Amino acid sequence: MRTNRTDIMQGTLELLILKTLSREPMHGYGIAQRIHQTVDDLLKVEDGSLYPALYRMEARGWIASEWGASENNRRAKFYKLTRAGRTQLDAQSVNWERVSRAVMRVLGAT
Amino acid sequence: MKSLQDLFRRKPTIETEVDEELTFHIDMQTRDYESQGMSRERSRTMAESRFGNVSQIKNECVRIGSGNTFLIWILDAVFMMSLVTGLLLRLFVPEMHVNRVGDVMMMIGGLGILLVYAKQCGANVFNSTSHKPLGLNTPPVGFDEKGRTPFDRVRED
Repeated sequence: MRTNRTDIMQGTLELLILKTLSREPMHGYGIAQRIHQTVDDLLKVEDGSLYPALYRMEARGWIASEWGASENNRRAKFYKLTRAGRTQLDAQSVNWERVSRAVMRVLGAT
Repeated sequence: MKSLQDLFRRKPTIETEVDEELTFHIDMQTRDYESQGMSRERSRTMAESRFGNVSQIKNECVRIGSGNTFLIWILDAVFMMSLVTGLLLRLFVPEMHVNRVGDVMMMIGGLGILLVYAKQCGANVFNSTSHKPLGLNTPPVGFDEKGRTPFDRVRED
């Protein structure tokens, strides 16, 4: 396991959740697992921090939740992206690219 | 009405749901660790440690979930009062102009309750496609559409 993991920046977690949910509805544990697999331990994402973010995003109307049965037949809360969430994902992705391009430009400047 | 029936039992429901959701997460993580060959106790400890401060996270989720509920509670109460007042004016005060006020109040109350109820059922009645929550669709201050900083713009223009 890598030891030089970077703490996730504020707001980035929401973007990761939106992107993860753009594939399919998932429960919180599934979202956490998918993010961990994708970032491959490069980023430090605490499992617990996911839930306040999910509740905030639901309050803003970006995601919606529904109770259903999990893969092991237990009751689980599934989240899905709403239309407002998809719009938000597009906007945040564009913002992220713009900011990272700007930072890379500064870092590359001599 | 369902939203009114839920008024006094919504917060415990949110607490129970958050509790169930977080427990599910920790149980699933424990099961994963167990499947990797760890003991039950060790798996549980590892899962809880990986999750973070459960009670703090639970409280935060309940607080966020209840915020919206409180607003809906207020809206429900205002619209219901408007409806009842309108109805009372319509029934017990015979003057014509007061009757009209009663009609308007009943209409506002009735429509308001319908809107709140529709929102509770999940309809997106208060959002439009152009709605930008918290202004996060707006590019960060300082960068233009080409990603230039104010310094870049001054230099190039």
